[in-house]
Amino acid sequence: MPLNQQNPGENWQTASASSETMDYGKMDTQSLNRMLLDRINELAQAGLVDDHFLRLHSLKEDSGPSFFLELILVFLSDAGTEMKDMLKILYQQGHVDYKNLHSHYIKLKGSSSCFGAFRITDACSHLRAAIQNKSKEGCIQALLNIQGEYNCLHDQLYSVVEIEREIVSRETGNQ
Amino acid sequence: MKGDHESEEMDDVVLSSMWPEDINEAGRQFNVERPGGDQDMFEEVTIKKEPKVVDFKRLMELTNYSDKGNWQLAKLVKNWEFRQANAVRLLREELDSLSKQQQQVELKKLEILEEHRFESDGYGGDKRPISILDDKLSYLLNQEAPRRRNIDVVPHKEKVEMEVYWKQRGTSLEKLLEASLEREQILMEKLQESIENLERQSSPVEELSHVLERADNFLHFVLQNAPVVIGHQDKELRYRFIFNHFPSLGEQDIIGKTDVEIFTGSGVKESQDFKQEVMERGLPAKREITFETELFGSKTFLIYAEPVFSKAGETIGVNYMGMEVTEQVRKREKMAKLREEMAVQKAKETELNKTIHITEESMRAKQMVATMSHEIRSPLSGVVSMAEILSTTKLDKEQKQLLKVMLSSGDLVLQLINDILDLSKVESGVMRLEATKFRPREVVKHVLQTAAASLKKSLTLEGNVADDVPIEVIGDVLRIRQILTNLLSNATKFTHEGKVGINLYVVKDPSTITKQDSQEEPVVWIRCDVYDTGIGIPDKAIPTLFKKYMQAGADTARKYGGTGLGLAICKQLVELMGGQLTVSSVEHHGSTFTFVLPYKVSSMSDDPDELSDTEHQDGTEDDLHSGVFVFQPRSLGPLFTCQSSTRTPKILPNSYELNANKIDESPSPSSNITCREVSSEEDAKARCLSLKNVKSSGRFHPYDHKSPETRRVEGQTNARPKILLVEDSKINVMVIKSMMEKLGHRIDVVSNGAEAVLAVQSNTYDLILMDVCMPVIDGLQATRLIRSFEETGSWDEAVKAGIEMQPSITQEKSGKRTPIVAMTANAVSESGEECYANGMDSFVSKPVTFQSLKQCLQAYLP
Repeated sequence: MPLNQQNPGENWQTASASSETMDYGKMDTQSLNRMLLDRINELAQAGLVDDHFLRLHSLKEDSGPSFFLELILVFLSDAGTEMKDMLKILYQQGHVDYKNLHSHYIKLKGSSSCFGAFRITDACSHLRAAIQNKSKEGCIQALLNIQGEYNCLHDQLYSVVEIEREIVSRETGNQ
Repeated sequence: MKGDHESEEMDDVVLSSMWPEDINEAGRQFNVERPGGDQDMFEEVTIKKEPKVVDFKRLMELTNYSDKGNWQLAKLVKNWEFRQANAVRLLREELDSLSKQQQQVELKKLEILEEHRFESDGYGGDKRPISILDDKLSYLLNQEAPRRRNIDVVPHKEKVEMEVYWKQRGTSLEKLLEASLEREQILMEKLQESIENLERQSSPVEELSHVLERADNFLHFVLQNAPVVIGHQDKELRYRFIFNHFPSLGEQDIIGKTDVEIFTGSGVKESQDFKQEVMERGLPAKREITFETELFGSKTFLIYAEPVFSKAGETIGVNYMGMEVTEQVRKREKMAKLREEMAVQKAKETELNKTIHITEESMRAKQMVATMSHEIRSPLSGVVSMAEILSTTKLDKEQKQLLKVMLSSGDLVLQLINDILDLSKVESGVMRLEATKFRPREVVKHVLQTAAASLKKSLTLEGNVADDVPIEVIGDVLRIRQILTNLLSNATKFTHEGKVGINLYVVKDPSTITKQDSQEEPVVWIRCDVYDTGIGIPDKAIPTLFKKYMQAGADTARKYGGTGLGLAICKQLVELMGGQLTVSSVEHHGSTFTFVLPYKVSSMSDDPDELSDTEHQDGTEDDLHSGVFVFQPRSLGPLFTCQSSTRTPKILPNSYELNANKIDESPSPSSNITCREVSSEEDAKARCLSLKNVKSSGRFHPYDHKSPETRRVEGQTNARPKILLVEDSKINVMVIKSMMEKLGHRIDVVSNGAEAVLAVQSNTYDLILMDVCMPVIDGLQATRLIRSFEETGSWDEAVKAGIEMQPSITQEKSGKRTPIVAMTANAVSESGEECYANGMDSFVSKPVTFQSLKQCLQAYLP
C-alpha cells in the first residue's frame, strides 16, 4: 500500500494552508482522544457546532471507528455540493428556480442541523427569508454568508479531522 | 424762421430726412465727428454715390406727411438754434467783460482827476473831463467838487514850489490818460470786429447741409462695401428708395415697382408677404428669407422691416433693410448638421461604452467564475485525495462503500469545476490545441470501454469505424476524447434501454471540395455520430441545448442531474478545432449528435511507442484495422458490482487515474486489495446495497439489479422489525443509520420517493421514516402513493405518477397501514398539517435526535 505511507494530512494542508501542523503520531491514543474532545469543546464554545456534534462523536462507539471522520468529510462535501448547486441555480441565466433552490436549502439545513453545524444552520434562516421574498440578491448574499460559515467551520475542523484520522488509523491498525 | 429752414433744407439735402433721427445730438445712435481739423478725410476715399436711387417726390410727401420726417427736420432746426443761441451767449459774455474793463478805466480816471481838482480849478477848469458813460458818476463828481473846495486851505508860502511839482505831475498823468484812451479805442474796435464777425457767420442752412453731407459721406463710407440693401416702399410696396451697393437693375427698373414685379423666383413672394405683414401689424420684424432668383442666384437675406406711419397714425409704407447672410446661413446649417452628427456620434459612443462596460462586466464575471472554480478545486481535490488515501487504510466493507460515495460525489464536483475552467479557457482563447498522432479506432474503443465500465444499465454500446477512416490521424486527441466521452455519457444518461453507439466515417470537405493543399499533409474530414435510443430532445429545447447551464428542461435537470455545461463545452471545443457540432432528435426515440472535424492524415508510424494514445497497448495488428466494437449488457456483470465510480480517467487529475485504472484492471497482479476484497466477499454487495442506492440518487432503480444474494440477505433480517429510511441527504442517512444501529435496528435506505414506492412494493416494512423534500418524487407524494396502494391494493397511482413498477412482483392487498413518520427541516412548506393531510402519521423535526427516534420507535413498533 504505497499510498498509505504518505502523510495523511498532506492533501488537507494544501486545502487549508493556514492550519497549524502538529505531529500527532508521537502522542498516545488517550491524549489524542482528550485533545479531540478539547477541540470539539472549543468549537462548541466558539459557537461553530452545538451538542449534536458531540452526540455524533459518541455514536462512534457503535458505528465503527471511522464513522465520525467519515461523517465530517461527508458533511463537508455534501454541504459544499449543496452550496455549489444553489450558486449554480442563482447564477443561471434568466429566471431563478426558487422552488429548486428551496429544496436545496432544505437539504442543506437538514444536514447542517443534523451535523450540528450551528452557525451554518443559523445562516440558513436568512437564505429562507430571501427565497421567500424571491430576492436573487438576498439569496446570493445569504449564500455567501453561509459559505463564509462553511469555510470557517471547514478550517476549524481541520485539527479535529487530523486527530481523528490518527485515532482511526491506530484503531483500525490495532484491529 | 423754422419754415424757411425746412424748405431750404428740403431743396438741398433731400436724402437726409430718411436717415435715423437725432442726427447729431451728441451721444445718441448716430455720432458724427464735428466738422473741423480733419475735414479732408474723405478726400482719400472715393465715395461712389451712384447706388442710391430716390423718388424725390415721394420723399417730399414723406417729410410732409409722416410724423417721423417732420420730427427729424424739427430736430435738426432745434439743434441749429441751440448752437446759434450758444454763440450769442458767448458774444454777450465777451461784451460784458469789455464793459467792465471800461468802467474800471473810468473809475481810475476819476480818481486821478479828483486828486488834482484844485489845479484844474486854478488853471484849467474847462478841462474837466466828462464821463462818456455814467450820468450818475458825473453827478456824483459835481456834487463833491464844491465840498472839497471849502476844505482845502493851502498856505501861500509854498505855492511856487508846489506849482513846479504839479506841472510835472500833470504832464505825466496826461500821458497816462492818453494811453488809456488808446486802449479804449482798441477795445472798441475789437468789439466792432466781433459784432461784424457775428454777422458774417454762415447761415444755418449752409451749416446743416454741411453736417448732413458729412453724415451722408460717412454713411457712404461705411456702407460702400457692406452687403446690405436699404430701401423704402410705399403702402403698395412700390419702391420709393433703394440703396444697393451691387445694383443689377437701373433706377427705372426699381422705383415705383414692387418686389414681385422686379424679379421672380422663390422667396420673392415670401419677402413681399412679410413686408405686407409688417405693415398690417404695425410692428417691426426680422426674418430670414432665402431667395432663389435668376437675378442673383441663391442667396439668403436677413430682412428687417419696420412700418412708417403718417401723422394721422396710418401706415404709409415700410422701411426695410436686408443683409446678405448666405454664407452665415450655410455655416450655421453646417454647424447644425455637425452638431447633429456629433450628437449622434456621442450617442453611439455612449452606446459603445455601455457595450464595452457590459462586455467587461461579463468578462469579469467569467473571470470570477474561473477563479472561484479554481479556488474551489484546490480544497476539493484535497478532500478527494484524502478520501483516496483513506480508502487505502484498513476499512470494513461499509466504510469502503461510504468512501466510494464520498469519492464519487467529490469527483462530480471536480468534474463540474473542470468543466467550468475548460469553458472559460475556451472562451478566453487560452486553450491551445495540441497536434498529436492518434488512432481513431482506439479512441472509439477506449471511450466505449470506459463508458461500458461505468454503465449501470442494460445498454448495448457499439462503435463502428468505416474502413476509409485512416488508421492514424493528427489532432488533439485529448479534446476529441473529451467530446466523445461527454456525448457518450450524455447518451447513456438519457437512454434507459436499447443501444448507444458511435459511428465514424470520412466525409468530403464541407467548405472546399478542391484539394488545394495537397502539397502539404492531406486533410481528411471525419464525421462522428453519437446516437442513442433514449428519451430524445423536444424540438423547443434544441435551440438552447448548447447554451451554458441549460438543460432540455427543469424536470430533466432534476431527474438526471448534471451541470448543463457538457454540451456547451463540446460545441466550443468542436468549433475551436474548426468543425461543427449538430444534433438531430426524435422525442422518445433517440438523438444523434454529429460532429465533423478536419484531421491531418499521418503516415503510418513504424514505432507504436510514438503514439500518444497508447495507454492500453493491447492493440494487435488486427485490432488496428477492426472498426466494430460491441459491448453487450451481459459483459457488464463483473464490472457492475465493484465499479460504481462515475469518474472517467479523462477528467481527473493524474493522481486519480491510478486508482481508476486499478478498478479497471482488477485481475492484474499490481492491483491492490480494494477490488480483491470486494470481489472475494460476495455478500458485501448485498450489505452495501442500501448505501449504493443513496449514492446514485435517482439514477437507477434499486431493485433492477438485485442479485439473488441480496434477497437472501433481506430474508435473513426478516425477524427484526423492518424499517425503511427514505432520505437523500447522505449525512442524515449516516447519522440516522448509526443512531438506529445503536438502538439495535438495521434499516434499509433509499434516496427518493420513487425508490421508496418500489421498496414498499417489494417489501413489507414496519416503519417508514420519510424525508419530505426529495428529488424525483417527494415524501408527501410517495406517502400518498403508498397509502393509495394500501387502500386499493393496486399501484396504478404510482404508475400514473411515472414510476416504473416491477411487473414481476404482485402483492396482495395487505390491509395493513404502514406507519410513516415524516422528517422535516422545520421549513414552512413542510408544516405538520401538510404531513398529516398527505397520510403521514407523525413528524420528527430535524435534527433527528436519539430522543425523538426512541419515541418514534416506541410509538410505532410493536
